[in-house]
Amino acid sequence: MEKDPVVPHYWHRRNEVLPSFYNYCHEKGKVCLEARKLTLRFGGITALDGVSFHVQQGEIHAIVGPNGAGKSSLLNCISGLYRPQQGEILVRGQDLVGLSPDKISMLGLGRTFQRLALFKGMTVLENIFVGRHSFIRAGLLAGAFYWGKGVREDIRNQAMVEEIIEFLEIEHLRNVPVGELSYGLQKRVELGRALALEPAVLLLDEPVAGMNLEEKEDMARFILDVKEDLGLAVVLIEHELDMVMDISDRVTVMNFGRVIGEGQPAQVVQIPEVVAAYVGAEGQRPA
Amino acid sequence: MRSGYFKVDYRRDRELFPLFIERLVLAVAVVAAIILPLITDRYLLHLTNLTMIAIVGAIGLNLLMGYTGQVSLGHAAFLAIGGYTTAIVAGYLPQLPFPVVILIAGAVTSVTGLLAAVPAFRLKGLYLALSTLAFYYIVMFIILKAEPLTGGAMGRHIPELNFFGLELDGEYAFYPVGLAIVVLGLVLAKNLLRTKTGRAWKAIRDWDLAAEAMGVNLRMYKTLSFTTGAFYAGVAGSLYAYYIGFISPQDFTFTVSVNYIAMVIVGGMGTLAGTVAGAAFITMLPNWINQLAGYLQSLWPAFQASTAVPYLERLFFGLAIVLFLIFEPEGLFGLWKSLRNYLVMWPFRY
Repeated sequence: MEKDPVVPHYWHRRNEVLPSFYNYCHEKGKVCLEARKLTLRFGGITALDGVSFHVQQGEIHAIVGPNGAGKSSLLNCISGLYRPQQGEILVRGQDLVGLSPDKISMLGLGRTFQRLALFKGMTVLENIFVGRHSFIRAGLLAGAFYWGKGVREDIRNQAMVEEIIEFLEIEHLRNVPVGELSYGLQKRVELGRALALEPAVLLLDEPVAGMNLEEKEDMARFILDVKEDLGLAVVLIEHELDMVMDISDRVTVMNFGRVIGEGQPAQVVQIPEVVAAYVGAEGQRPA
Repeated sequence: MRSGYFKVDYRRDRELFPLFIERLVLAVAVVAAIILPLITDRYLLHLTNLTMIAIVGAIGLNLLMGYTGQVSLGHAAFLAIGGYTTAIVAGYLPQLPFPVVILIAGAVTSVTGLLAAVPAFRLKGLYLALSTLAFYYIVMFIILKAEPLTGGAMGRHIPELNFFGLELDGEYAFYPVGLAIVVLGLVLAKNLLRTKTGRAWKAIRDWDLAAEAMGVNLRMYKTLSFTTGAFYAGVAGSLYAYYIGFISPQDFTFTVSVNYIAMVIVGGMGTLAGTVAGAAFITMLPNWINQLAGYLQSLWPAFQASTAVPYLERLFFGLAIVLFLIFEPEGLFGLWKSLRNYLVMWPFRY
């Protein structure tokens, strides 16, 4: 039996030429995602009103704000589910606006969803495997006859999926249908599925909402691992301000579709508009 | 988790029949398939042949409905296109070997599957089901009106299976042909489902927006699902035409579409083994009902078996679907799964 080539460890693969923009933004601190003056309207409602922000490689960038501030709309614009009326979203100098979600995912943007969006009828392994979709070239016929190069390619990609399963510490669950898992574990699988895209920027929409303390701590640890070990940029939308203040490097605060403050966590909480948005107009923070 | 069961590489992990009990069932099935024509009468073999045709068609519908989540009420139209393509091609070129004709029928049906896929770009669920219903009526209308080609309501004869001059006629000759195609169809489908295409289909079924965010091109994979499902249906229609030797629009009524949906549901949506069982169950059902009616008549002479059978058939049909949906939504495959898990765990009770 001929041997498959040895699969490099997950976080060594970025040196290979991939269909993502790894090679462009591997330097820490370099801007890898930039939104310029995004405006999104639904009928008479302006969900985003001239929003600009940028994300640097190797940082956790949190986007916070009260309900309805436009955080999720912003994320949906970036991943192509919504199309903003004005503005541009730049990745590697290329404008993403108007591209379909599957093309955008191939440019190196992986995302998770606010409400769980796992594939319920599939196992943990299969769910993460779907993330490898665009890395596998062998198509319908190669799959149907299950023979030769296509199979080896598929198995190489499975090895990568197993690496991710190991990284997220869910080896014992790999063949369990995701519908049977607890909420916290499902969120973790969703993170794994986004990682399988080998993204340069990871977009997380409320990764710890509705979790208990232990699950939250686990998730925070994995997000930090993603940043430290894999060197990705993480865009984090979250209501859990304690966690945001603890783990993020920069914070953008939104309200009513506008950016009202940006900076390091400690600085942001001093901005009067931010205080007003969260605790009221008088601006007196409780001690 | 089971103990004493270790896999050391990923190829082993992806085997089609990983469990001993499954291999045992497979071995029994192989032996049964070989000795079946030796021990059964012609009528049972006829039913078996019809079952095999139904299996091929039902695999197609299961790929589309059970695995990709695209409900189709127009499966009979695909069968009809396969059948009529066979009638036309084999009618004009009788010396063509039958595997070529079957492939042509499948390919032509695939192309029409492209057309049926277009509404699926925008529609889901009930709306999509209605659009496939419209597709079905359009196809049947064209077949009725294209009399010079299809014979219209009068139907069309199909020459015998021709294999390089060798004519295969009757139940016994058809059996190995049908069996080979069923096995091939099952293996190809199973392979598709454990590689990229199958994963993309299942992802679309479970959450299409998330699938798109993972890089799956929805239009392309919905189209692939429709063309693959139509290909299987086309092959089934072609086999049917060859086997019966005569087709007319009466063979492809809307009831046929419903029967195929019943096979997929009774067998278990999204399982191939279930498809086999479901196809057998639904094909054999009229036979059992006939026997039941005959028995009732012998008990109670006032009971008119011949007039009651069509109604009984519909009654049992609806009953089968409803009962399965309520008590075993995973279908016959769900029953087998419980049994298998019980046997694997035996003698331990949890």
